[in-house]
Formats: sequence, structure tokens, C-alpha cells
Amino acid sequence: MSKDQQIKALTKKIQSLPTLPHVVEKLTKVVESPESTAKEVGKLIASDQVLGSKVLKLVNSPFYGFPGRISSISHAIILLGFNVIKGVVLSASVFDLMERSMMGLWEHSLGSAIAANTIARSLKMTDPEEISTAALLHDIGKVLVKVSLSDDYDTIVSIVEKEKIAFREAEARVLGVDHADIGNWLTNEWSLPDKLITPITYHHQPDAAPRLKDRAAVVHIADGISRAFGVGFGGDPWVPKISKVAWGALDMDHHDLDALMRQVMLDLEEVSTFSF
Amino acid sequence: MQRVPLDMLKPGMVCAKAVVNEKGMTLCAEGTELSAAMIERLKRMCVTSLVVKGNPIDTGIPAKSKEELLAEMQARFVPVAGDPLMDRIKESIGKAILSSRTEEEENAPHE
Repeated sequence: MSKDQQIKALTKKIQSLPTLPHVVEKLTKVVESPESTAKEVGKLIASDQVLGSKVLKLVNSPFYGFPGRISSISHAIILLGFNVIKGVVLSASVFDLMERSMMGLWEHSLGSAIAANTIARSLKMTDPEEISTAALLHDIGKVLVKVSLSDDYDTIVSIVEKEKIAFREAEARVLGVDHADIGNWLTNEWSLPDKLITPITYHHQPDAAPRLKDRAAVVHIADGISRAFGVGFGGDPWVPKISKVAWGALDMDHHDLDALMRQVMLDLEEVSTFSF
Repeated sequence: MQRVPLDMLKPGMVCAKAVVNEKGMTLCAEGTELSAAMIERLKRMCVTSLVVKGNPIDTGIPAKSKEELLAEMQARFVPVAGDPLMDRIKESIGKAILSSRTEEEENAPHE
């Protein structure tokens, strides 16, 4: 079976797709209209009080670089842009699912987002916020497996424990695809922007990305670094091999690695259990 | 250092990282000892959390020594041992862990 067929077979098994809150759908429409103002979008998000406060907490967390200083959603939109806000609203809703069932994965995702932000900033890339949003969502496929294919998920976990192999290898064995393939399908279903879909899809093989290779490379490296620092739990306890091609594409050798790792560590330290 | 949500802040905790508003105005400077009134004021200004000195909130997880952190980190690299790039990353992270300042060092008087 090809990957596409595998995914199709899997999605048939999935009874309920985690649905996005109403406001996210509305938001997608509003954001696409060129006439929308930050104020209108802010009002829409704030209309859902719980969501509004979550969005404010997320945008005030260290990985967006304005910790504790954004007090209104419309201000957040002006600073971060529509795409980031859409990602943030989405993350806030998705992680609602995750926080209850997968605290370790949430922390791993947050750690990856912080590492991605630090790397993107030190490489002076454009849109570091968007890159960290992609990193925040990179393992979204795992959430879907856990929530919608929970028996398969349990089998994967027990294989990882018994055979000491990577989570991704166990996924491939049980499902025929891995969480990056599932993440690709899910983020397309949700019509996320390509700037988020591509890095999520290619976070294991950034070299294979047809475009946005540099963003996929940052998410790939950030995933590894977050695991190296032991932030949260990404499904297995090991650091995956970081792609030399991705490393070279970002010209990482011409950066002070010691200084970068020190900075990542400081940024990670700011996020403790009590951040959210 | 610990990031504490606003509703868990208590008077007497000390701000470890300045909070500034969107205009760049400092709302709470580093080193400020919090009073009840100040916490109320931060709440009104929609500040959501604050980084404070020390570890005033017990997370139930004992603090690890640098050596323990280093050994745990190195263990996570075992499957990729011998890969030159991964070895370099491991070394840099090790240096970062060893160079971090412990709480006692942070509180030590500056000579």
C-alpha cells in the first residue's frame, strides 16, 4: 500500500476528527479577507473568553519574544501578524486536548517552539514567530493518534518500551505511516497555511521538503535540541540524528554553537511547569 | 528562577526578570520585592505571569545537580554516539549545563 492509501485507510478508522472551535473557522474566513482589521480579528477571538485568555497567555510566553507585555489580542495581532495568531488560536485549542492526556508531549512541543525561536532569531531569519508556531505544532499527528486511534497508540507505546526503538519506527510498524504523515493530512484538513504544513510534514526529513527547506530545517533541529535538553517527553527518550544537510543549509557551522546552546538553555529555563 | 502565574504570586517574592509594557515602560523591575498592592497592580495591567528568584513554589520535583543533568543529557545521546555533528552538539549542550549558575551562585553577594 502506498502512503496515501495507508492514510486513507487510517482516516476511515478515525471516528471523530478533533473538531476546531467555531471561532477558528470564522477566523480563517476573516483572516483571508484583505479588508479585515486587527481590531475585528481581535474582537472575534476575544468573543470566546476562554480562548481569548489562552491566546494572551501563549503570546506572552517567552517563545514569542514579548514575555508578559502584550495585554490585548488586537495588539498581539499587530505585533505577530494574522498567520501567527491563527497558529496560536489553533495551538491553544489543540493543546487543550493535549494538556489533559499528554503533558509530556505538550512540554516537548513548547520546548521545540522555544528552541526554534532562539535558532531562527540568531540566524536572523524572517518570521521567527511563524517558525516557532510550526515547531509548536510539529507533533500534532501524535495527538491525533492518541485521541482518535488510542488502541494503536497503546500498542506503539508498548513496542517502544519493550524494544527500545524510536517512537516513529514503532508508528511505522503499527500504522504504516508516522505522525508526520498524519500531521500532514490533518493540517491539510484544517486548511492551515503551507508555511505551517510544510515544516510539520518534513520535520524528520527537512532535505526532502519541496519548499521552505530552511523552516523545515529549523523545526527539525529544534525538535532534536528540545529532546537533548530533556524538555518534556517526545515519545521516546533519545535524541534523533540531526540531518547534516539541514545543518549545512542553515550554515550552522558558521555560528557559535556554544553561545547558541547557552541561549536556548536560558530561554528554556524561563518556561517551568507553572507557565500555563 | 521560576515563572509563576499571577494568581500564585505572594508578597515577598522577588522579581527576577523585568516586565515591560508595549510602550517599553517598566512595570516591575528586576530585583523588586513584591507587595500585595504591586501584585494587584500587575493583575490590573493584564500581566499573566512573572519570573521570580529562587524556587518559591514546590513542584514536587527535587532540583538536580549539574552533574546529574549532564549525565542524563549524555545518556540521551547514546544511540547517536560517534556521529561527529551529534558529538559536537552534545559537547556544546554539556558546556551550557556546566556554565549555568546555580541558585546559590545567583544569590551570592557580588564582590
